[in-house]
Amino acid sequence: MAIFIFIIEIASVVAGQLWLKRAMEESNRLGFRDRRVLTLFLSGVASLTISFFLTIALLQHFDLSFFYPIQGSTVVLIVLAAVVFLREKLSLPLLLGSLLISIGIVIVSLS
Amino acid sequence: MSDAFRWSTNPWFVLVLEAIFVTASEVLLKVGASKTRRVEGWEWTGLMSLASIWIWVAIVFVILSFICWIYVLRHIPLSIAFPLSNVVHVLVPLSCWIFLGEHISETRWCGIAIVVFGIAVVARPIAKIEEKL
Repeated sequence: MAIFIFIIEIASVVAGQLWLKRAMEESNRLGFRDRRVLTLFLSGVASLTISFFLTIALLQHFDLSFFYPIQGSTVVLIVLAAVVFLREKLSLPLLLGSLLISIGIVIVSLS
Repeated sequence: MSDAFRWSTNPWFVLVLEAIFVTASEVLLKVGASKTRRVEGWEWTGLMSLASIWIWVAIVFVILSFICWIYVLRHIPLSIAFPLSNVVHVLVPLSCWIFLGEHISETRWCGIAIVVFGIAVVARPIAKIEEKL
């Protein structure tokens, strides 16, 4: 069950950021009052809100030191998701840098 | 356009601001939470912390950081902005060390150094492009 909540938590962080990004891209073209922009924006906010409460739920069951490293993995996941879904460019420094950041976050949380 | 205005609308500057606001909110939440009166049975909600002024200031910082983040996303690709925003994982432990007197172990210093290095690796190619513009 906990694994299931973990997956939903991470998925909703990634989806939330992608939606927010899409909303802001579209807002450049269509303005903020456009229905499509608003839908994307509110989906992003809703998704991030869900992840916020799932995080609290997970923290009630697990130690922060166990849970925190998993947050580190979202860096790489969001970069990859942005490349796949938003067609952003992936470069070697970007991949390498985000891997280092993820590893660093895991080590920060271990001690 | 005045210099101050040009600076405040630069998305890279706003990204730094966002990280500072997140850091401030985390530190203030910690200060507020540790000053909160413990009430049996209600602790888990965290609601009692709303009595602390620090928590309210922290909430303001959370809102400010979100506004900054939205602005950043409007101008910078997510695959670059998100890794860079993780500089909070450096700023938060450093602020806890400086302002709250918390201890940072050697392993944690190593982790902080690796995050800084990773951020530099992501940021270097961008800095070069910006220089050319």
